Amino acid sequence: MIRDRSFRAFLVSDLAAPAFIGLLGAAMFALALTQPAWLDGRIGPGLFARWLSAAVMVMSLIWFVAALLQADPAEGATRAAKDSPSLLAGLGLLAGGAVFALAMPVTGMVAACALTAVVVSWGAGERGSIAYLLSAVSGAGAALAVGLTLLPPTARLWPPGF
Amino acid sequence: MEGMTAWIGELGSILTLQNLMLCLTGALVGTATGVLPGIGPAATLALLLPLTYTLDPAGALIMLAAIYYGAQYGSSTTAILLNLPGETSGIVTALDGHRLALQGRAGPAIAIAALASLFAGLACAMFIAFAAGPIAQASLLISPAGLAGLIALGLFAAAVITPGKPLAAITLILLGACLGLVGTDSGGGMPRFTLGLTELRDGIGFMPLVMGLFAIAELIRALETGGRPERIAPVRWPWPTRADLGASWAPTLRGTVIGSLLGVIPGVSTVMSSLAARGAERAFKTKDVPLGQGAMAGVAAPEAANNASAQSALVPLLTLGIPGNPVIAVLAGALMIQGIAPGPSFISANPDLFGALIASLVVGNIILVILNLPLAGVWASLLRIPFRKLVPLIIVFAVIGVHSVQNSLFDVWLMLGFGVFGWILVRLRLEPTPIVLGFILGPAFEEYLRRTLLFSRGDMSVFLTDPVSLTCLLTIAAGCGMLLWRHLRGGAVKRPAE
Repeated sequence: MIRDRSFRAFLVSDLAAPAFIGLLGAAMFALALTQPAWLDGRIGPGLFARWLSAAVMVMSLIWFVAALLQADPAEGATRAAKDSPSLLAGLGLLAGGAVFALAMPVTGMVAACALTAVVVSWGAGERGSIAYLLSAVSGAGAALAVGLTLLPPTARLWPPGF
Repeated sequence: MEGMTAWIGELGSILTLQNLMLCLTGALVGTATGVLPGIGPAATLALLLPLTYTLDPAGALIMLAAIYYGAQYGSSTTAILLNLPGETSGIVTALDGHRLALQGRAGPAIAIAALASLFAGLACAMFIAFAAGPIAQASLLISPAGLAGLIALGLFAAAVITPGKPLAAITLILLGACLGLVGTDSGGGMPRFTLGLTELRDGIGFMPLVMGLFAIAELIRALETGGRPERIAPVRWPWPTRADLGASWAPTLRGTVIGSLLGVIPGVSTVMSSLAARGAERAFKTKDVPLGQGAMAGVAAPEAANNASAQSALVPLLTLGIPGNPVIAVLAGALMIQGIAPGPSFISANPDLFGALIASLVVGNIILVILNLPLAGVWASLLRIPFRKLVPLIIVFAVIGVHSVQNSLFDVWLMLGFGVFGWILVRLRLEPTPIVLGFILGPAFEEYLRRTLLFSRGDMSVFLTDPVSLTCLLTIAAGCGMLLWRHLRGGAVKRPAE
């Protein structure tokens, strides 16, 4: 059971990286095949794209094999245990950005930035209504300051019709 | 001599109030960035790119350059006082600098760090002023095949020398080059890798890519691993004794030479220059205490080397268009946003801009010493602000910056996409830097390849007959051979021990 767990950790720790990058390379190669490599004797848009994406796949494969040959499941398991992922910070930051993109057309930049700051501060570990309020005020203040001084007058700071 | 004359001429032009204020602002922001662990100079430069849209190219370059070398200065302050470098290059300074602080000599250590950095900064500015022009002139004679070879060699060097696994770095550079191809093909005008999205026809924006990979991913990493000191020791007036100055001048000279030479090589980071300078000091005997026990040489040499290296890293960008590290890559992006292409013709086409950059290196370094000597304690106290309170503001500036480039919410989503990608890379213990280098240089490589094959009518053997291209290919082959030999020898050494 312990061996199983350490082997799984090794898979995640050492082999996931080349596998992930290799898959991206394969996806790009598939896209590159839809482009012509040559156009009337001249280089087409697909040639360099095919070379590069194929090189990504080949290099990922070599990397994968090298990782497999240097396999040390015990070390991989130790590393994976040390990594102990905390998803909250990442999710909070990304959710903050998403809130901005969703709210901006409806509320304008100032309110969208206030909402973004609140969500991000939650992700960063702030707790309590005063902390959220301060984040909202600082976010809105930053948007207002940048919007009024650096952005063109066409920048939408307020909700439509305001 | 022409470079020197141009530089002296441009020194007058930089001394306008606006440019001095931009240099001061950049130095302040850069020092704060260097002091605060969590967000490095590359992400800070990326965050501040939108501010430079309203500036003229010279002003933008002056401010961004000041942020860059300001971060090197700021890092040494917290490295010495708290053993907590805000930027990686400070790690080496901390080895002796923090020991000096523990002995109650933080002030002189900070002063020596600042003076060594100042000397290195000024000397390196002269080096760039003298050397960059002739190198750029020579590079104008290189054929497209040779330039393609040089780009390949630069990317290979960056991949091999960057800390981590070279195989992973090479693969990520290739992936970054693939991302650089997204958009309309410059040869035939056909869309490529756009997934049918019209927003991608102009390619992936530099800002969403850098913000996602550096700012978002780095912030997540900093939040997951961050820790701050509770108490910061006071710093008295930092003036070194005559003995301190005597023990520091020679290491400063050696550090400056090492940093200037190593910085020119793409991929050599400031921390590697600092380590090399500190390593070189072991060969010299001084009257001071040995390295590692609070030696002034252990502060002066790495500080001079990291500042010199940070500045001479501009040489390959200005002369060949090759950014050797992520911060220089962001600077290259800033120039491209302003419609200026860094490369062989940059200096001849923009002598005023080049002169302003050199002048900013001189003025900025002087401003930084004035800022850092009396305000060392104030900078260190910035660490009392909890990082989680700064993160919401940083993200707000990031989304406003990315959105305002093209008034596009698509770019914000793209940034989030790259943020997720960067986060995955962090979790897989991969550095995003090679992707950015590949993203910038991939399209340039394709362009030179296209021109070469056009001139040679599709004959690939031109890469073997062109002397520059052949030299680059042979160097890459030798590098691969050395890597393989080191790998096999490492395995052979490891096996008996097992």
